[in-house]
Amino acid sequence: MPLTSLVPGQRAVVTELSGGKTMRRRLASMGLTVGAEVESVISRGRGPIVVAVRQTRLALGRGLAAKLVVDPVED
Amino acid sequence: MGRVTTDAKEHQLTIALAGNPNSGKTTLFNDLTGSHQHVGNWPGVTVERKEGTCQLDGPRTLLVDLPGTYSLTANSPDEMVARDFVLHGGTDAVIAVVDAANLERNLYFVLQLIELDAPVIVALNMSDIAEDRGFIINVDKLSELLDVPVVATCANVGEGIERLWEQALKVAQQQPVPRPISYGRQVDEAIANIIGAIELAPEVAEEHPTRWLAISLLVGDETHLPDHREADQRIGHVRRTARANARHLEDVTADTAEATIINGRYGAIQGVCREAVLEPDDARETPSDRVDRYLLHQIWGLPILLVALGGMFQLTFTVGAYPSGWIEVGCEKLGEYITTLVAPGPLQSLLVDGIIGGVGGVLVFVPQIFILFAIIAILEDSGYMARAAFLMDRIMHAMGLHGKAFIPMIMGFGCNVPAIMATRTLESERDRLVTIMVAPLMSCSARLPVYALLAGTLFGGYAGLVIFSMYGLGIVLAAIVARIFGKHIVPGEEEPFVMELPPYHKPTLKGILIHTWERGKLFLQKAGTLILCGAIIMWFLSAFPWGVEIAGEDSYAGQIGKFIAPIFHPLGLAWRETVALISGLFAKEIVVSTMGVLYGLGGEAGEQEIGAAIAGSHLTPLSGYAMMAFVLIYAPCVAAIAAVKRETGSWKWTAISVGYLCGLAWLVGFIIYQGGKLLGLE
Repeated sequence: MPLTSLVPGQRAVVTELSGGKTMRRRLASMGLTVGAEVESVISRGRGPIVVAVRQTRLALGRGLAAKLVVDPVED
Repeated sequence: MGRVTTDAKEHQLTIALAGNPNSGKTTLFNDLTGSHQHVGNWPGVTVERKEGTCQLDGPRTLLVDLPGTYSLTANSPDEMVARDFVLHGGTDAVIAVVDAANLERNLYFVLQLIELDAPVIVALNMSDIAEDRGFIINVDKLSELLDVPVVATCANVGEGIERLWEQALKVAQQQPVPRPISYGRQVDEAIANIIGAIELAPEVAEEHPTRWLAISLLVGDETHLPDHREADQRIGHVRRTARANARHLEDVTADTAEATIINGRYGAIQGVCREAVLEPDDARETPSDRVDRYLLHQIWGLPILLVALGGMFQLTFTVGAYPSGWIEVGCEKLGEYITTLVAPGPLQSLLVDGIIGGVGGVLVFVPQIFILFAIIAILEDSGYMARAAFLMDRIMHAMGLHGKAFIPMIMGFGCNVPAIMATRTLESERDRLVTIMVAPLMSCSARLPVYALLAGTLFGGYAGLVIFSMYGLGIVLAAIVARIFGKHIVPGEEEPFVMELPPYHKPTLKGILIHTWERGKLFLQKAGTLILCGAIIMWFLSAFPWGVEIAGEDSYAGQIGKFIAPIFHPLGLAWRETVALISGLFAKEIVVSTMGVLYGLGGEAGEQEIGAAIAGSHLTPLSGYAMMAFVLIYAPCVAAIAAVKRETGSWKWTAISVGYLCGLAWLVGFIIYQGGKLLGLE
């Protein structure tokens, strides 16, 4: 499911990063890689979202976040 | 602020500071250099180069603060500068500053430094905050596993700095040893094959660390190979070997070689962290998260931001009014004193009307600009500015930009020059260009006195509202123009918004002062150079041919004004206003003193006297409003135009910026005046 579908507090593992090579590189350098665990911190119907990944809080534009595929982790 | 001549020859050692943004790198740099630092530019690119001399004991050492980046893969000018300096800058050691509470991502950067064969020493910074949050880090173990020295520091309180420095000097005086990172058998084999090919091509092998070059080639970055010529058999061999190994690796792993390398690095880091770091059980909700629940609140987040910004401007203008008043009185007194000292004649006129009148009128804004930049520095250093970008992202999308572009725009209200320079933080060329184009529409503090003068005289009790409408007009125009430029004129796609929200922390006084000074200095330089020149030229044009009535119809200024004035007639403006507007090209605040001169009052005339003269002139509220709009929009001062040239590196874009702003200013002025007349206004 897309990253934007997570509700705050929900955790998931990133399974697919879309976007060009440069964008994937940038996301990787900020800790967002395939296999990384993320937790949704802020996610609303509209606007950018915030995720926690590797102890960092990252703000991601909605368009970009909708293209990142994650697999939710059951608690 | 001290300034040292940073000639590398005077220094025995060179040590660089590198690290992620928000790792406390700049604070550490301030600790090590005191105020003995110097800001310049890296050659060829508009990336700030900060350097200084270390104030601690030991050999005289040049410290270079590399731009804060998340990686060294050369995706942006910042990364390129950092990487090239580590590779070819002749640095004796690199201090990698890492955030102890954010190790995994920070170590990703450190691994890249280690792969560049750099003599690395790690400053485990903000270790006090990490400890408070429950992280237990075994520093010795970390150092052993990374095979580089690690020193715990708290740069904001100056702890651990001396130990760090001792270690850094030790590293600087040793020969660096390569420390290969293993990516698992398959990748290591591919790397070894490529290294084999590189070693057969000495012209390449001597230029770069071989293992690093092999990895770069494996992930498809061939920018470090010299251009392929048929004769270069060996280079062709390197290229073919790299491509073949990358293909093979991708077949085996069913993933891109780059993803495999990235995962390999993070895998190695997780291995290190498992052994050396004990993470808190519940590291999920941090103190910053709790603050963000309010400051990023779905409903209240934006109103809180607006109140904060409103408070910022309120504070700037109310507190700034006091020192501004003192400067104004000081200039008047100085003018009077010189009048008694120098006999009447061209010299006295030049000193009093030209220089003191012109430059003094500008110095009045210095306190306000410094206060505004100090508040912006506090917002930035505390971490709130990143939240502001987040909150504004959706609104900025309506302009075809994203949240980060909000930061330079806000700075534009202080002075357009640092605002244009602040666009450097935007990753995409397109966003940078669009923001540079619209930043001048943010009404800088230099335009305020022009509004204050005109609105105060012509609108009486409504002056405040009228002035406020100018700021609003600027923002609305910026939104429209940004959309048009982004869609139709500037090439490139809209860049996705990605930004770290750093933990909140208390800014240091020193950090704020340095930050404020660096930006405010740009304004002072402008006052000392361009505005001084502008004032002298304007004085000359209005006082000569000597003997004419100052700025009368027969003066050069009057003649020029009369020649150009027809262009401004449709805006309800006559030759005097035309001259004032032309003088505003040097700096918009000069418009006020020029009007003083033009109405025959002398450059040091107070606002009230000029106001009285305006009230008696032919300017009506309607033409006055058109003139204010023109002042808001038309090409910013020479200093801002120079900044546009510097940042875009293109005369074409500079010309487009100046041209469209002047055209738009005339158009808006025309619509206001003619439209108002149609509506029966005056």
